[in-house]
Amino acid sequence: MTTFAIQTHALAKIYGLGNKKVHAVDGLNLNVPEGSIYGLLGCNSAGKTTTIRMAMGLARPTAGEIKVFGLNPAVDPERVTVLRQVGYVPEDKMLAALTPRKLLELNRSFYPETWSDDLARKVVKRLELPLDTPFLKLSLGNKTKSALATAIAQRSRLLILDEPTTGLDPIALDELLRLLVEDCTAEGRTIFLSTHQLTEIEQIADHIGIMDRGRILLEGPLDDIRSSFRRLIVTGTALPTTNPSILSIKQQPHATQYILQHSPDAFAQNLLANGATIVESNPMSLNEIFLELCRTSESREDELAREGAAA
Amino acid sequence: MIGSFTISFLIFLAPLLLVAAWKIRGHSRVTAKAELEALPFDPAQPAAPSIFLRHFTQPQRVFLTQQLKMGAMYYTIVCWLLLFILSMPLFHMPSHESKWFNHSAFLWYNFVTFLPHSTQSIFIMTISSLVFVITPLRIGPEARFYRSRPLTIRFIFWSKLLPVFLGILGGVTTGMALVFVLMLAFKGPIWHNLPIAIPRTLGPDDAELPQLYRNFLATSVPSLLLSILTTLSLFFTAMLALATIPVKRIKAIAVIPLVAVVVVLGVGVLPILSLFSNNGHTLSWFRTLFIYSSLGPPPPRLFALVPIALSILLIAIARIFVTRLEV
Repeated sequence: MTTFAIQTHALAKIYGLGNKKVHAVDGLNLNVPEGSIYGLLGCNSAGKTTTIRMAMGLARPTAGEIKVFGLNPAVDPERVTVLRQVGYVPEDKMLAALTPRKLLELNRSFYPETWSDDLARKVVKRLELPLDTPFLKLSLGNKTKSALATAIAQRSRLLILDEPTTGLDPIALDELLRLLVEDCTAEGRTIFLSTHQLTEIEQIADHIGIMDRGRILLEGPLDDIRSSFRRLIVTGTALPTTNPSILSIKQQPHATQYILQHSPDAFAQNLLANGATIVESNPMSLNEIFLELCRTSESREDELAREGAAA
Repeated sequence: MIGSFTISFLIFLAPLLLVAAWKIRGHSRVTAKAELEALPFDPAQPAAPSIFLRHFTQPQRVFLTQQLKMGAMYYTIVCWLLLFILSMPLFHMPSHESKWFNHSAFLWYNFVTFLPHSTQSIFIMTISSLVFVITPLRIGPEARFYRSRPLTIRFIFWSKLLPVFLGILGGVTTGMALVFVLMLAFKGPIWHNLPIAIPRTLGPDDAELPQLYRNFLATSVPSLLLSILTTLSLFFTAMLALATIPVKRIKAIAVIPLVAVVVVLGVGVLPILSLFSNNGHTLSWFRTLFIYSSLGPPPPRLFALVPIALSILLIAIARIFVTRLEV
């Protein structure tokens, strides 16, 4: 039976009042399996950071519920039990200490049972983090590295990383990904990260959630997602325009492009049976899936808004 | 030419600046040396906790130790501030001493009228300290850091509040006690040597002097000092409750105008209090709140319970607000 590190049910977070209400998270249902590397993807203002802040107890849900290891992170004493098991890198990489060394030392004393000095040294070395440069002189990348080293060395059961690649150069990024895979997923630990680096996340994540406008558009194991999406270029007459498998259709000069998100093989068989010719059938990268889902969602929202305005 | 006020101010600042410079220099040296030599991460083992800290968990001890240091710093600064300001009239005689024709009365008068000045400085101090209490509760990376460590919000709140709050109140009390000790040591019990009437012939410019002198004689210094403590508590807790209202997530940059507003308010509060205390209509609720900021008979001591009760209530409100804060 799958156990979940983070689970949300109809989670909502609304900021502002009256006409200025913003639905940052809007009925979110998320399931982050324990032991997974879960990538939460989304455009800006998709609600990723707000979701993470609610998971950390830094923001309170307006409706619905969020559980971390089955506990409510918004209310003490459950909140403390959650925080004992979570390492966190916030979106804002400002530091609460004068130097990275001081930050590591400070954080070390909060997690005496799980903290590893060896792991801290390893992360510092591999990310080439200057330990004694004052915070004011640190580059954005080094601030990110400090926050990462602090969270990783905690050896928490769950690592929540909000945009952990901000300011990192390709070498540091590569080292970070290796560290996450080699050291952090050992002992069944879970990594939950939000990022815009789709190519990199595709290398390490085994679960993906794609968010848009506060809702989850797609969630599941990365392999399942990859296999369920397909791009077909088709020629023929009387091609179907509605089908549960179709995510979007685009008319090209001499063909029709289908983006399929469910049962692409069955759909292709059906097309062939109806006399269509499949010119191309290509799997899609995570980047393409993400872009297609977000664009489709946006156009659907616009359509709904137009219908609403017309009504 | 440097005035006596500037010299006094420099004397006041000198030890504080010296300590600050010494600390900064020491820290910079250690940091520069470590940076140059690229020392590995090899932290020292934490020292054995004191008897008091033994009751807390390791994360609580770390946080509490920081806050106790902060409280001790405020205690020292406020104590020094008060000692300095209140001892000025003891050693620095303005030229219009002849007004009273009695050294003890003049000295005591100066001391009593200096209290509101010192209170104003303490108010400013209180406001600045409030920023240190509030910031880790709701604003910026510090708030996010501590709110995401395994500490209950209740613990964070009380650990932030009590050391600073008690440090300030303790600093005020100690500062006042030390001034009395100084006064006794250098001038003797001058308050026992006050003439019951003005021992000189009054001139045409002294029309208000008899009433002023009567008010002066009727002034109760213990009540004045108690009022400083209760008014300070009331002001501090009211600002705390205001600053923790869970209306909106505040970004660090938004703190600057907020601080400016509260500092202006802090600076202006005493003149405003004095202004209102001269108004017969508002005097009654000032008495009720045990705000005693001008010469004259004191409000009944029992009224001191009103600001104390209100302060407790405001702290309770702030405590509820803090639970609902988002950072």
